[in-house]
Amino acid sequence: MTKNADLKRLEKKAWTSYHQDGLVDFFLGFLLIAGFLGYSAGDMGRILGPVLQLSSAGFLILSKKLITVPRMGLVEFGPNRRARKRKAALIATVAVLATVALLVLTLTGNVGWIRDNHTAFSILLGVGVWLVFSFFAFMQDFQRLYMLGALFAAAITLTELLDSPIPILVAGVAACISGLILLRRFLRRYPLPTEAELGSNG
Amino acid sequence: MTDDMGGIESLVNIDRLIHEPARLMIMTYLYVVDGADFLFLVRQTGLTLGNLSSHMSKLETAGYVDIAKKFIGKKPHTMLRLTEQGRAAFNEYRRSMERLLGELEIPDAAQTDQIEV
Repeated sequence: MTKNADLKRLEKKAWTSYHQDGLVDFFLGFLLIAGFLGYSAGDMGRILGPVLQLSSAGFLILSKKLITVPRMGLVEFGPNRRARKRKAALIATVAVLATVALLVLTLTGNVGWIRDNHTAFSILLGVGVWLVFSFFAFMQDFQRLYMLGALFAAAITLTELLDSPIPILVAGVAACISGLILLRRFLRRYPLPTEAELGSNG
Repeated sequence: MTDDMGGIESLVNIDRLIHEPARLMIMTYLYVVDGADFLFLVRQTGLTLGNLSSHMSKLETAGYVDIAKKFIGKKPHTMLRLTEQGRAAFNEYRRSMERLLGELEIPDAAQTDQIEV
């Protein structure tokens, strides 16, 4: 352990151990399923979809706090990791704002240019989504996000091209299944420590 | 801890508190993060809580680790961090080991066979 590369690898190992719980897979799967419900539920869906999607973000934060931290323990990472986290959060904010802008354009009927170039738009949308996921995966050292991003992008592109929400539902269920498998493995590997085990060291 | 002696003799000057494998592992984990709690170190190192506590008090006594108790909600929580002294000692340990191991020449296969016979 005399090389900086080894220390970086160790820091990365500590960081990635927090992503073994499958909660992000489950969150992304739920986002897609909420999108499917929003798409399928007619006028009510325009409210239902975003409400479910927003509440799933709350679910992710809460479940990290209630499932992951009590099993993995608490760690504060260094300034480099915090800076990367801030950059990733910035990109996520830009992506959310772009989605909202697109939604507003759709709701206000300003989508003529999309209809005229529908195939190109659908493919570009998928590529854009994958690039956002890839940037996030790179900044967060979270390899599985490349795959999940591809799943997300394919689902969105196919839904646009086929004008059917079924690809979103299929991708959502697939991501949720992946999340459940990982979560099951995580819970077995890291059982909740008892109060007696922790003693005064909490 | 600087050593004027070269070669294998410099091993006597190595920081034995850090050199112990479990403590080296603890120090390394605390070196790459800002701070961590007991459970995190147990998960990462594979040590038992009792074992970890015992090593931690030795490192705390040496001034290498700061053990801070705080409350998260109503629950007491213990965070562990390397002190400046601990970071400096770990850096010095790394340098000493690099120097020492760098000076050891690895014999080629033929020489190794002769040694084994």
